[in-house]
Amino acid sequence: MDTQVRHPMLVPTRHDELSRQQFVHNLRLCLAADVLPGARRVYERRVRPAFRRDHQRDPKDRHEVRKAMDRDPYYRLYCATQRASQEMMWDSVIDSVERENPTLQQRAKDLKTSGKGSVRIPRDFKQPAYHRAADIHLQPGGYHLDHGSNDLASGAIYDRSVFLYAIGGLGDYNDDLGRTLVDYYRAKFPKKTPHRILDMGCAVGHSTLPWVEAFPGAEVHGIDCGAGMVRYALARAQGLGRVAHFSQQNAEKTSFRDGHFDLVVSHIMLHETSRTAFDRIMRETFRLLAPGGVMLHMDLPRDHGMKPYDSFLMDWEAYHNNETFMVVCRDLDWKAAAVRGGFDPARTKVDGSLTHAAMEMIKAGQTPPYAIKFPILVGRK
Amino acid sequence: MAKAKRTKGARPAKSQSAASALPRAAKGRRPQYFLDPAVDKLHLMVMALIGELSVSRDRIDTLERLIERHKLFDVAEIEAYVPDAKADGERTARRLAYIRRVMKGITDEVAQVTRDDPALEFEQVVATVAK
Repeated sequence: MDTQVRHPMLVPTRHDELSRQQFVHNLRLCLAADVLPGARRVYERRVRPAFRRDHQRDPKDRHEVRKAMDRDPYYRLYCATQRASQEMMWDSVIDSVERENPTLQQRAKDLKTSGKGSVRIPRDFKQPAYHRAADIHLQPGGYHLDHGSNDLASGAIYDRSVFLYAIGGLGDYNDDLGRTLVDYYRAKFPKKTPHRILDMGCAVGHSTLPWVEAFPGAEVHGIDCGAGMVRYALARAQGLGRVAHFSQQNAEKTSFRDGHFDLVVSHIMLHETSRTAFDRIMRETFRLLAPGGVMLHMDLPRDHGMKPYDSFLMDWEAYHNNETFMVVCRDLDWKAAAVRGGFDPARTKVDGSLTHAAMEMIKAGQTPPYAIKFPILVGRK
Repeated sequence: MAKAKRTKGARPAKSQSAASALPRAAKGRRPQYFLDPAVDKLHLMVMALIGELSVSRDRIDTLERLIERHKLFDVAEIEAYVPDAKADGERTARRLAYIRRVMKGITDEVAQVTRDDPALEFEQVVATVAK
């Protein structure tokens, strides 16, 4: 079901455009529910036995599974179709955004006059190499697409596409990851009430707004490398009646002063950076936190502790969807990086949590379709 | 047609310029999924066709629902509809023409192979026209 909330900034669609978007939505549902589970059976019955015959053992890690699966015709056709669905998804949304661009820009302007919050775009922002190297998630032009002044197309494209991409799995506001981290923070730090919160790599603020809702007294900031993302993020927040402050900034080095925040968070941002950036972001997080402040960086499941086939599945986006750093990121020692960044090893750990939606389903006695624990790098200054 | 009046100093309405066109292809090498790269392209074409067929069916569904809402006729009539001889003939002719158009890529080869005056090789044609 297409239940994305039609907030004032969500791009309007015409009949056939909406149909195209919903087709992609349903195609991805079918790929995830019918075709991909078949790949596991193909692996067990065809690929793994062949590997055993050749090597007298099972594949030892996700890379060996991938190399064997990459030759399998069933898996190839799955990959080709999944890739096509991703390309069709962007195209179906860009049709609408291209037409509605002037209207959306005007709407953002109108919302700005009456709404609260802010957006700041520096004049001399330097786009990091990991954004310029390839368009992450295949979004044409990248998250950082920017034609200057009022351009918010990248955000408008992203907002609608993320809903289709996740097959609605992130909720009607695409905010499930934000809610997940809010739940985690409340459960683990019940006595804390943050006054200033920073969300790194916020994109259009999907995960930022749950923090605004959870802590109405807090000043909430979101930063992202995409100018179009943060322009749109402010307009979206204002359209939803929420107050947050956005700026185009690189999480490796921000303009905020030392100790400015008592909570720094990110939601699946780290795997879209680089090895050098990862370390720098740790240092920057440490610098930005006030004494006693908390860091929560949530990301995608690491390789450690996963069965080779399950771990191989998690790499799909890296090899087919331009999330290249994920391959490296999943093997990194996150805690060691945080300690290098200044955090006390005794006050730093990698924890994990099911998503908010999965927890809600379990509470209601249902079985969630996606019950993987997302790792959370937790540190206290 | 009367000429549109233009107020002195007013700018003409902004048209959809090339600058407003958004990029459509993502930066980064695209994996090759099949042994022959042409199959990758064919697969994309098939995916696009599946998508557009789905869009068309949605549009027909919209039409049927609007027909019902405006009480133009009972949509159940569509299920019960049997074309008369004239309609059946026209429909068959249209359907066959459509199928032949789709199959042309395959059948053209037979036409080439079986013609009485076999087609010349490209170089032979060049030699002929260069004379």
